[in-house]
Amino acid sequence: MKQAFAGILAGILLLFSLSGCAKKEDRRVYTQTFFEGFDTVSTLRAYADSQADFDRLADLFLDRLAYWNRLFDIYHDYEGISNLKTVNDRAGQAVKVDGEILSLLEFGREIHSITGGMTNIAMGSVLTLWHDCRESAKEHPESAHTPDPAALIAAAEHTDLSKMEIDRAASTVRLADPKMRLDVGAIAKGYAAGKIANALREAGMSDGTVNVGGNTVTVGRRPDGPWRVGIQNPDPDGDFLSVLGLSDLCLVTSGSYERYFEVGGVRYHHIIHPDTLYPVNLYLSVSVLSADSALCDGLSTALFNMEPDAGMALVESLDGVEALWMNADGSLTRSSGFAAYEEDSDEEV
Amino acid sequence: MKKFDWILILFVLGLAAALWGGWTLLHPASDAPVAIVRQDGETVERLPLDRDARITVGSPEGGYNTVVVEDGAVFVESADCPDKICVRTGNIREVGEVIACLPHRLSVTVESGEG
Repeated sequence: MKQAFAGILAGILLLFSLSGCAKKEDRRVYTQTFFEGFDTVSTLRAYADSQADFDRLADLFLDRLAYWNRLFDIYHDYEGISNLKTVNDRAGQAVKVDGEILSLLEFGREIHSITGGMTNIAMGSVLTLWHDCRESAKEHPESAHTPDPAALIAAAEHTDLSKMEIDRAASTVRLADPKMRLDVGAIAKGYAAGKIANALREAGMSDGTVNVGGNTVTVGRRPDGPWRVGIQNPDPDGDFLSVLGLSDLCLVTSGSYERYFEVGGVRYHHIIHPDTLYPVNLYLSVSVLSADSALCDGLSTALFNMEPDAGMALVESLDGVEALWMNADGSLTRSSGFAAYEEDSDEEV
Repeated sequence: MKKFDWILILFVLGLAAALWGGWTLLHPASDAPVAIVRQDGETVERLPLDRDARITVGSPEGGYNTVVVEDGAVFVESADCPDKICVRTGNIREVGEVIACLPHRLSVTVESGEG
């Protein structure tokens, strides 16, 4: 019976090893999409060992998204906190705010300087006029209209960023011009995306991507290589403009094809030139790549309003920054180092 | 070896094969990606991209989005949201791509087919 016993044992071991082969790798990628925050869609994609582990990351994502959204919101008040709407509502007075708001505003100064004023967070009074026309066009498309030119010119008198006074010691910000308004739409999503990615990294996410309204931050990589990030084609029937292989890098795309309204068949999108006070239609889409998500966001706005030569010169002058422009005629222009990040678009993203 | 040994060996191998076969039947490996449709974070449909399909998802406030799978891709054919960005996104087919309808809190995500 010894042989039989050995045989049974071997058989049982064989059974167990076979079912072991059939078991799958626990660590895989999970995705979740969020609709709360910055009036846009956000997505988290991350490798996790279980649904429960991923849910922990997703909960943190949502928590952080709501946190930054509350602080940077210029349209809503939130019980118990002073945010950018508070600063705007009390223009002329010093308003005590969380140091995180001051950090964003200081970055606003930096990006204003880097872009020669093309990205200006003090353009709120002008942008409000366009925002209101866009909102009313949604409700009443038949009576859609662009802002009154005289109103635009008058509003533009109050867009001097140097009138924003920050006092770090007192933790206050004061808009010295009472008619000035801050609008951080050009930098807030990229800034927040970077902060959210950091929080997730600290919470243990080693490989994942954070996307807040077209602002993508990649952390780590996939088992097969870097994260593959596709740039959406404004034409719904077209292929990706480009697919990039990114690991611990950021990509931000600004486009004129989603947030716009029409007047008499002419489209007016949401990125407004600081001098002409109207949207510019040199490009359909501008993408910026670098290690800094907020920088990508701020630059994409500036580049949208800059002539090709000036925009290219700005990008080439910045270390570690690359860009892709989709011109109005559908052609693509790349900065010198952009192609090095491009991957074959045939494989799966 | 005795006859009993052979019977035992065959029995054990047969059992192992039956278990493996059963597992494979219960967990068929599919190469085709799957479109996961979520409403308010809850999965409402799993649509393999290798099978044409058309479904209409209603949102709590009474809105709708019609999601179609055709020729290995998925897209939102029609919707009654104001901007119809979901419709204008066009079709997606690569793992990781997402179509989203913000007013209806609907997302369509292409995921890998295994597991």
